[in-house]
Amino acid sequence: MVNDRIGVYVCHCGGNISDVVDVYKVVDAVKDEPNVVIAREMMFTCSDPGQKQIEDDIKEFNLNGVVVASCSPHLHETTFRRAAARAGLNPYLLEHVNIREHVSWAHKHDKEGATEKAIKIVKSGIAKVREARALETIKVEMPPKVLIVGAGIAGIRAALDLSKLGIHVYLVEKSPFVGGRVAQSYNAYPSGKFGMELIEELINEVKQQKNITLITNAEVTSIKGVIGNFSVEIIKDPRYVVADCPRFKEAIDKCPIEVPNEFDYGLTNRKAIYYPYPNAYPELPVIDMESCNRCGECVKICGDAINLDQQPEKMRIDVSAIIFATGFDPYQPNEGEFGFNVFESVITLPQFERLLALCDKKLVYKEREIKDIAFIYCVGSRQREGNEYCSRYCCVATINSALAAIEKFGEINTYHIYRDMRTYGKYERYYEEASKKGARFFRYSLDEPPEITQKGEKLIVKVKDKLTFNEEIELPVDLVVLSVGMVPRKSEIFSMLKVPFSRDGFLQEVHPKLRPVETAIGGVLIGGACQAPKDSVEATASASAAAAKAATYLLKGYAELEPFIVEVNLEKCTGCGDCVKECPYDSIQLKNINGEEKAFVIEAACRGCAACAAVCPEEAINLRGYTYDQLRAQIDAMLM
Amino acid sequence: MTVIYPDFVKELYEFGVETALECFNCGNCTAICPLEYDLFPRRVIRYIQLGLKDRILENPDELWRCLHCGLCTQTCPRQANPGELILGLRRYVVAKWRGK
Ligand SMILES: Cc1cc2nc3c(=O)[nH]c(=O)nc-3n(C[C@H](O)[C@H](O)[C@H](O)COP(=O)(O)OP(=O)(O)OC[C@H]3O[C@@H](n4cnc5c(N)ncnc54)[C@H](O)[C@@H]3O)c2cc1C
Ligand code: SF4
Ligand code: SF4
Repeated sequence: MVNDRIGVYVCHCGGNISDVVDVYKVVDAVKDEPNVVIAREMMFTCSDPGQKQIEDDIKEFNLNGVVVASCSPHLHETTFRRAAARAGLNPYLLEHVNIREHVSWAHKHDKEGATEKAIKIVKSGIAKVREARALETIKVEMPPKVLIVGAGIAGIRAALDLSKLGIHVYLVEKSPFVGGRVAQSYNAYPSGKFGMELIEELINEVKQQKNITLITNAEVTSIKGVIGNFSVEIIKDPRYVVADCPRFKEAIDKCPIEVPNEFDYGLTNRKAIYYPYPNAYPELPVIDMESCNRCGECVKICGDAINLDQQPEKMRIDVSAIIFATGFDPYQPNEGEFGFNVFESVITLPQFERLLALCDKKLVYKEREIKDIAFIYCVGSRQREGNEYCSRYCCVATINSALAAIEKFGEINTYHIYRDMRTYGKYERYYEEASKKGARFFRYSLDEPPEITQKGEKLIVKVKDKLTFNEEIELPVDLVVLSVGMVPRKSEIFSMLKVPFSRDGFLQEVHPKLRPVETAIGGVLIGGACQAPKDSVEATASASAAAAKAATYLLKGYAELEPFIVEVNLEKCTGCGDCVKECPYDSIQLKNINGEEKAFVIEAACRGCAACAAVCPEEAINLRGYTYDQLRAQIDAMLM
Repeated sequence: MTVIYPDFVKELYEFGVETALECFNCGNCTAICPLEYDLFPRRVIRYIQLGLKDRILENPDELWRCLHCGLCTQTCPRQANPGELILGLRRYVVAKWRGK
């Protein structure tokens, strides 16, 4: 049976369409097509009167199919489908075809040709809707449980937001302590607080929450399933400190092992049993088994609170949605890049921030007082080959740390060797402030980067300076700080779900403006700097957005998915299994149905890519809403 | 090869040259300057920032070309007061010359 009572609406879009396409001619050309009972041109179909007209016609003519020819379906398909539903028509019996972006805007200089093309497109829409079937959205139950991977500032922020809505959060952190990169920063812009204090404030809130299960020292080893029903396996590495003890400090003092503290980039040492910094959370220290020699000194003091034989623990949890908040890595300069690892006084910005935090009264590095510092910007960012993107945070963070150094240690000459100064928006203030505090700026080009040599005690930075008419200027300094960019973190977990990456290698959203925190994988959201270089302001904003997005599914208790998934015609299916191999999401299987092997679709997992339909030799698989019959009818209509 | 001498800006304070570091090298002053002369006045202001006093003393005459029309000071987006800087540099050059 075909849909035999079709209404067609051709839109002027003000003049956006009708200035080029002769919409009256289009209406004329289609009004007598088989099964078309009413065809109209409309000034603005999306307007209230426009929608009302469609609704009225559906009722009056008892339409069982509608074609709207107007703008891109991205813009108004939902609008028109809703109008159809209001009038009692199944929304998937409405077809939206695009004669604006695809016709009037594309063919401004050929009005006749454009009109002809519009007619074909509308006819093909009619052909498609004639074969259309009523479809229902897929409802998926959503128990209020979320997994957040990464307990940096973004992960913690999202966890708090969800917890406060009564949604249970499993917050899984790979390292033994929470806080991520922010905990390491000395004086984070814009508030000017210590990173550790920022994290502490959030953690104090976390402690009030009942809905957050924090799992540190743990990694997600497997994620299976789909929105509403993800099954997650986690391995929690032993902390070896298993209970609280009032004498941890003594135990740490007694530990005979000393190794460089990664948290301070080796500027300080730590013991094998340690906290990376005072007030680190969770409050239990951790034992680093790689350096521990199992001498048992700490056990003598803390007894049962320490168990050197603790084993890794496997856990399994079920969640409805997942938020990745796995952050970034600072770019690691190559050997010799701006003298890195060649001269000991060439360090990176993250190291410099730790140095600022750890020095008291005098800024000292490798036992020498630092008076003149050169900062080289854009290291590992905006490269011609490699990382092409701007890392966004580094201009502001570098100026901010230079200001912090001047404030803490008094007179220091800071030389800023940049490519473009991108202290955007309200951070312009920092740039101006730095000028007032005596900072000197130099501008280099990618083709002629600054060179670093040693001369006695000093390093000499040679800049071909665009601000000084391309003259070569020499800057004798005690320390060179490389403003390293952000690079994407590699992790197995992204491939477990096939989360797409952007060209730059960060996790990618569906649409930067319209769906900024969702990935292409249903129920998998992203927050913080795993998505793109972000400062903590942007990281927390996007994390809160991801939490809010997760809540939109979870508070309703179910999610509605578009019905465009595949279906199997059991009569045609021979059970060859070609489709099973093709499906990138493991959502089609062979199953014994009435004694025969047949392809079977797991509806909640199918993403509607129809890769299976393409390989099925029997044409037994159809994509709902885009069946073979519909597509053939469309093509025929175009060719007529 | 030219080596930076950052303390020069302080030596200029007594001549009333105090705002040189406000300049962010946009070049607006040079663009509007009716002299249309060799990147004047930004060039000399840049030399102040880097402490390249030889460059200034090499060609001091140019400071006396300035008409003191005030256009640069009006246009400067950073209130670096380029006109005043030029006047101050004249005082500095005269003092140097007297000292010789
Ligand atoms: C030197 C420097 C200075 C900065 N200064 C400022 C500043 O002054 N102001 C400002 O706003 N921003 C600043 N930033 C930027 C700021 O650090 C970031 O915006 C912020 O860290 C992003 O937070 P995040 O939670 O997204 O990522 P991260 O801080 O990177 O946290 C990610 C967390 O996820 C964990 N993780 C990663 N992978 C996994 C996994 N597979 N499983 C479990 N856990 C995982 C990590 O261990 C980490 O704890 C600075 C950055 C640097 C490098
Ligand atoms: S923020 Fe500044 S330093 Fe960082 S990559 Fe962009 S332009 Fe370069
Ligand atoms: S207009 Fe002002 S900021 Fe711009 S170059 Fe001249 S003095 Fe400097």
